[in-house]
Amino acid sequence: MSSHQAVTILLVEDDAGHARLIEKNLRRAGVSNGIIHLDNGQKAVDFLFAEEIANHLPLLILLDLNMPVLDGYQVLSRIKADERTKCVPVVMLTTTDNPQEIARCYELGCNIYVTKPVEYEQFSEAIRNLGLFLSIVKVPDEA
Amino acid sequence: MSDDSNNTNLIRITTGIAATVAAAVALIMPLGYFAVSYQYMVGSLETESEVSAYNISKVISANPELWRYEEVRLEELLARRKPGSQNEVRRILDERGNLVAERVGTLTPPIIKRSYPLKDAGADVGRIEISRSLNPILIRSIFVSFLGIALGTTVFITLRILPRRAINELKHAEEKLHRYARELTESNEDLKNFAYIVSHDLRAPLVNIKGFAGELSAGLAELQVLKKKCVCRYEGNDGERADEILGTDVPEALDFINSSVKRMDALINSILKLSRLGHRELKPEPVATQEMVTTILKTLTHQLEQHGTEVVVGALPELVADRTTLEQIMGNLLDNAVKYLGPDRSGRLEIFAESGADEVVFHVRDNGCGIAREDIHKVFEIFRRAGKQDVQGDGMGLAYVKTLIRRLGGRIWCESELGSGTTFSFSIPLGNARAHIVP
Ligand SMILES: Nc1ncnc2c1ncn2[C@@H]1O[C@H](COP(=O)(O)OP(=O)(O)OP(=O)(O)O)[C@@H](O)[C@H]1O
Ligand SMILES: [Mg+2]
Repeated sequence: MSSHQAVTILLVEDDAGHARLIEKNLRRAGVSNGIIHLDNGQKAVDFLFAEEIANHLPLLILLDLNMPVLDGYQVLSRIKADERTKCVPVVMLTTTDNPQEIARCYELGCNIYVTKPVEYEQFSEAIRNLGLFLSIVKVPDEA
Repeated sequence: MSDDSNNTNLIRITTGIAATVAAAVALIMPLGYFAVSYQYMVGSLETESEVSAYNISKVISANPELWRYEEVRLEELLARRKPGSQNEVRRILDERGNLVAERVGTLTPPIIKRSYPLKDAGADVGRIEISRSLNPILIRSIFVSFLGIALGTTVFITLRILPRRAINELKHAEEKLHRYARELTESNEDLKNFAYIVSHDLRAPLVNIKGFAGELSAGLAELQVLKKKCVCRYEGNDGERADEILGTDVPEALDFINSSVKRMDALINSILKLSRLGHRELKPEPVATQEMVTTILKTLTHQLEQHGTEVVVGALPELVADRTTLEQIMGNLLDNAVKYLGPDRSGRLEIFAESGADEVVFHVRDNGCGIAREDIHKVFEIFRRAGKQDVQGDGMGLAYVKTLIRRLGGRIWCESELGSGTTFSFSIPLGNARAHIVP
């Protein structure tokens, strides 16, 4: 039954403008899933490891890399280190396309890496692709 | 550590030298004084006895046989010559050694004695004997030896203090140098990190500006469509004005915002690229620079032909150095040389190198538009351009080149004359881990 439950998107992004733009573009791309917005890494970790949510809610995480308090790397490595959250798909978001940064994120186990391009068309396209990805992603079924 | 033990060694050696010199001074002064005074005293004693013997001999020849009975007269004779400054004892003895006459004085030992024969018609008839005390000389020698010791001590102290001071000064200078070096690397690191952080963080608000400008455009487009469908009532010219705002003013403002953001993004990208250059790892490998230059020139064929350019490539060395770095340096310099050829005459490029023992100097010479003297130092700075801005460019090329050359430990400089041509030269130091000549 649980595979029919819609995936909830957890957007972890400290910049309110970016968060709004991402949401708008997701909606424009036809993504109608619920979106939970958290504005720092600590809140994301607290949210994820609150027992019942980690176990019951199918999630997809959009994670910004540059955040105060806990940055994207730290949040990502905590997610991937914990048995309960290890399988949650994570999409990293960042403003630069520094190859070292990208490599590090993949090493830590992120599923896709999206740069937030300054070019608005590219930005929307990246988010639209993300929407596509969301529609085909299969959240692991707890049998 | 080893510096410190070096220094203690040095101090030990100089102390040894100081001690030797001081001891020598303290010893040689009194000894020398004594030797000289002794020599002088003995000499004067000998002369004195010889002169006295000659005088008395004359008296004896005048009174043969009688001389030894006229003691009073002899004593008078002995006393006639005033003894020098010092006390002395004079005696006349006959040939058997018996005392004939004497002039006494008090002498403190040690005493030296000299005698001379008295003659009567060529035959020895006795002798005159003069004694003096060495005491005054000894006393003066002791005084001199005090002087010597004082002088020696001074010499010792000076010789010991001076090198210590010199070493301390050196140490201070060295510490200062170390500190400066440390500060320099720190501020260099800071600068690199600064560029990185700035460009990272500047980008985030830019995404918003651009993003919401996009949202505005989208909203505007939608509004235009909606407006066509509805029938609105405006008073007077208001309708035209509303059309103007929606159709011209707002889109124009959005265009300016968009192009500025684009420009800003390009600038940030450039700074980011420059800061990454400083972090990239260098991989030294053999590079045939001649081939490299030829390859780069091939990619510029079209522009070269446009200017009818003649290209002269001298013999260039084979180096062990980071290939990408060399390629980027050469690429930028050649690109500039071609880009800034004047439109009014056929171009000429010369690329040549001078290999020295510890560095290679490359030169890229063109006969292009040149750079004004006061602009030469400017062109190496990021975003700076010079002269007429009639060719497209970002003012980044030479800033990269300068950073890259500095990473290889070299220098870049430029000689140029406005209107007749420019030579860019750069040196690559050899014989270190970063670069050397292929044997
Ligand atoms: N060979 C040259 N002859 C005359 N002027 C030159 C030459 N090379 C550089 N310059 C001047 O120095 C300026 C800076 O050069 P630089 O290579 O840094 O930037 P650019 O060529 O303008 O742009 P970019 O290389 O980033 O595309 C140029 O704008 C030009 O005015
Ligand atoms: Mg250039």
